Amino acid sequence: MKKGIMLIVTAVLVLGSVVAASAGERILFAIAGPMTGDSAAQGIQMRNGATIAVDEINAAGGVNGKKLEFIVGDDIANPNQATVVAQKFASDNEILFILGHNNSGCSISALPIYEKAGLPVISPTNTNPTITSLGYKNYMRVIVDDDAIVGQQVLLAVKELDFKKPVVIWENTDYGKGMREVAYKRLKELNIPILADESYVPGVDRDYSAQVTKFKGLGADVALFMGEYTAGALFAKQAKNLGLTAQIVCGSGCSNPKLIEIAGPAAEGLWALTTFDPNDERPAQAAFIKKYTSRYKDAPGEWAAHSYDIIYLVKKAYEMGGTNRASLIQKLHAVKAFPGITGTIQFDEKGDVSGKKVMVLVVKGGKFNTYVPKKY
Amino acid sequence: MEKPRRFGIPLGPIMVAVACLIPLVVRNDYYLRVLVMALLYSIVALSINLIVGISGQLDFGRSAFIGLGAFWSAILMQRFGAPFWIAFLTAGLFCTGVGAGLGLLCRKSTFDYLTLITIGFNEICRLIFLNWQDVTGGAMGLRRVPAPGLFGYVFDTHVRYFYFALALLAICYVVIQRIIKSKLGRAFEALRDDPIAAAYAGIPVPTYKVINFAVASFFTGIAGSAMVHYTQYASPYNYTMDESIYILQMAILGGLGSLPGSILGTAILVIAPEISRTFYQYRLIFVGLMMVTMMIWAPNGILGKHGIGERVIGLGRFLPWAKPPALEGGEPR
Amino acid sequence: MFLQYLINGLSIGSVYALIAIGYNMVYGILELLNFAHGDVYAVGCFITLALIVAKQHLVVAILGGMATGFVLNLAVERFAYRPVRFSGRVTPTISAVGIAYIMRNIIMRIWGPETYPFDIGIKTTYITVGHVVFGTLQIYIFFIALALMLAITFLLKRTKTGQAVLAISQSIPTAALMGIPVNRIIAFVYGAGAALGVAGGVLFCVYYESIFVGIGFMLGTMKAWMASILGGIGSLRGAVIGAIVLGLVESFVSGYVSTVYRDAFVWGFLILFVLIRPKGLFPAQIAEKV
Repeated sequence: MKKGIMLIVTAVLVLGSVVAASAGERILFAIAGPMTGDSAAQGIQMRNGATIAVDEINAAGGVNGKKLEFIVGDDIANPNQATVVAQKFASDNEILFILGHNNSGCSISALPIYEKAGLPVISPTNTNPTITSLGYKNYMRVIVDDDAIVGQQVLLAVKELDFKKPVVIWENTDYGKGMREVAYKRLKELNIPILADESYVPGVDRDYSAQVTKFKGLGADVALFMGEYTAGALFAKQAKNLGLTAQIVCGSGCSNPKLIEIAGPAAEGLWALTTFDPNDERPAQAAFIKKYTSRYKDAPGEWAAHSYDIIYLVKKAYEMGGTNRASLIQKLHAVKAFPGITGTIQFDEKGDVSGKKVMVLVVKGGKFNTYVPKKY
Repeated sequence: MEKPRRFGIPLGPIMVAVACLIPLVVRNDYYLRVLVMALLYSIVALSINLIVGISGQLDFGRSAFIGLGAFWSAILMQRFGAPFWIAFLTAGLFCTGVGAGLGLLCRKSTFDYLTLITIGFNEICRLIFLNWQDVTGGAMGLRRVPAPGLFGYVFDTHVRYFYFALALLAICYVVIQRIIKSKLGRAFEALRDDPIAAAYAGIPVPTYKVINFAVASFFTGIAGSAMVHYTQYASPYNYTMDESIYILQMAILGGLGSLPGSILGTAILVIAPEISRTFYQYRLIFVGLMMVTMMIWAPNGILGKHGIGERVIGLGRFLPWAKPPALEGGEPR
Repeated sequence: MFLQYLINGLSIGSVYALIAIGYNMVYGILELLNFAHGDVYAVGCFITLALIVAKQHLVVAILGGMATGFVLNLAVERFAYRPVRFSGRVTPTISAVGIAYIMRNIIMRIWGPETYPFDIGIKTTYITVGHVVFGTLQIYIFFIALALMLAITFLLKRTKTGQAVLAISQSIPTAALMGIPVNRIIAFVYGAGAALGVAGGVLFCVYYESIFVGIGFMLGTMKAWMASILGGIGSLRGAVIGAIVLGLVESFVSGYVSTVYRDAFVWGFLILFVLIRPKGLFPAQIAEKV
């Protein structure tokens, strides 16, 4: 009798686990970004942000009972490599959507391949204004573009801080060039002439004395900096050393606290914009920041925060019926006013999120402080 | 010079025939893509072999020529609506011209200067690609480059492109082989082995350096053109010195001076990063290690003279320069 | 503004000169393309950074970095260069390129590509004279470069080891026949070159108050190489002067022509220079096989 019961129990358990295993299908997606090379820190942040979201969701039962899983493709921030990664993902029919790429240039080169495969592509960090005008119906991004960011940068410098003699310093890449063009456009609208504009080579150039000297000679009162935080820090340092009194107002690449580490006291008074405030004290944001910091021993940046939002956004769209590639694209566009930690997300027909606000930070007392603009 | 064919079978055409069967077996677009890139990079490796292996000039700037061929061809087709074969061939000729120009610049330069100048040239080209926005699209490069077509037949699928690349490689291989075996080729080898003796033998060293650069650059140029119409995207971030050195390593790995070696070396270095994630992540360290260890123990690569293939695997019997053991003389290292 | 560009150019030129001196120890004397110079001394500089972060004394940190560079280059020379010393010119160069990649990637694996603040407690005071600003550190670097150049030239001419090095630069087999311990001396030169490179690199980092992996190849090897070509291979004095000229050219092109195309112009200038005066400004009297 006992043996019989044991047999039945075992059978039930075995059957039960088999049933459980087959019921637990998975939703597979791919993360595409730079995991090695110079921009690796950004790609890794993307992956980490997504991982936190995936773990949270899976722990709460998954999406419609299915577990989220992902694979990672490394594009080294190189457009050529991005197409190889894209081809790999496009050939895999199980992948539902792509979280990526990190760099606008990579997305642009990879999109034709994704479009052919009908894969939805949602980028956490592409800011090049032209991407959404290229006509790719499968592409969306949760970050505002450089048009908006630089536009705010200009407004901050001119309307809020009342500067009238701007100079522009930009990094010599597609990112920097795009921003420079927007700056010219906006300043022209406000009728303010640019005194000078100079570029630098990111990742290599250490010496900004030529640019600083030129700006000083022209009597600039504000320097609009368009580039990443390392260059921003070095520029700020050398500007201070060589006696350039212009205020430095940076775009969104400089909101990393490492800037203050590198620049030291020269960073005091520097302005920066950000799409995710690492000091945000609101509950949802603070919880995310705490989780990220304790797990990865590093402060989360916009790459992580936006990726986190994308996962939750896709969950929402999936639950609304977006269970295959085509319907997911449709449902993503149908989501209204999604409350993400980076702000409210709602896509327009081109795949942009135009309503999101950009936050302003200023360095005071050796750290970034949140600043609320009053005049615009 | 007799080329002992041990079994009387021409290996080359056999390999081509076998390769033709690949697309029937391999259906995955991604794998095909990797193979096509391997075929096209092989052409570049052959051209590098011509400069570095055969003529002994250390060129660190080949990727600039790939870029020149790519942009020329892309612009001609995209902006001026030229048919593919014109864009393709003129890309090669354009690169020949530029190569000749570069050769002229450094024809009298010593070894180090030449290397430095090629690096400088690579940098200058890269900067022009990056900044001449109106022509090259600047940092964003050129997108939606048209796929090639010949007589109305458009190569726009991976399979079609595979055959196109295969045919191209086969043609380039045969042509380069002919060049090496000709008087021109022997002059090139003299440049490498002993330039002073060559000068005394009546070979004007500077002139032949120029011809060498010019001829090799033609092949690099057409390879660049073929690549850009395949990837349909031209980006200035591809044409850096690191890329030049990686391509150089393809030729070195296979064996400088060995044409089949160039293809093998390319195949390994293009396919390995795709197969092994570890290789991909650490590829630069691997290439570095490869370079050092090979230079010490196997400077002739896998299929080069007295290379790894010959000594370790006994492939020597099949190679063109294999001699019967009794006649084998010592090779100065 | 001209004066400021001039000062900027002299400053950056002096920093290049420091690095070029280390580079020339091997390149100038042994005429071997030391592609890995920058990346090897970069490792030493990062060791210095690590020691500083570990709160070691300034002198300990710098000497530790220099010692690391010295030993590292000894090992590299012994295992990667000596076996191929007589294998033509292509082979040793490729071997050096390989070492460069390995070193660079070791740094990237441990420290990554980011820039770190480099603070060794030396603060530069900036002096303003009229419209021109310059720092005291810049003056120190300039004179250190000059002093090093004179010291090494003196050592080469007046000490036995120096004479041995000069003999080796002329002909290795002959020097060996003369009883000079060739292997040991070459190893020493490589080591000294790296140690000097670390010193130069550290000063570079102090000047910009930051360190990153690119101080090795991009800003070290390449600049030093360009400086040596300008000044003339084999001439230490030439390397220093070449470096200063390079710094000046960079500064003036940046200021007056274009920051966007600056590097293209500098390369163009270099190529032109090589064509017009291939032996450099101060060519050493060493017979060169064409």
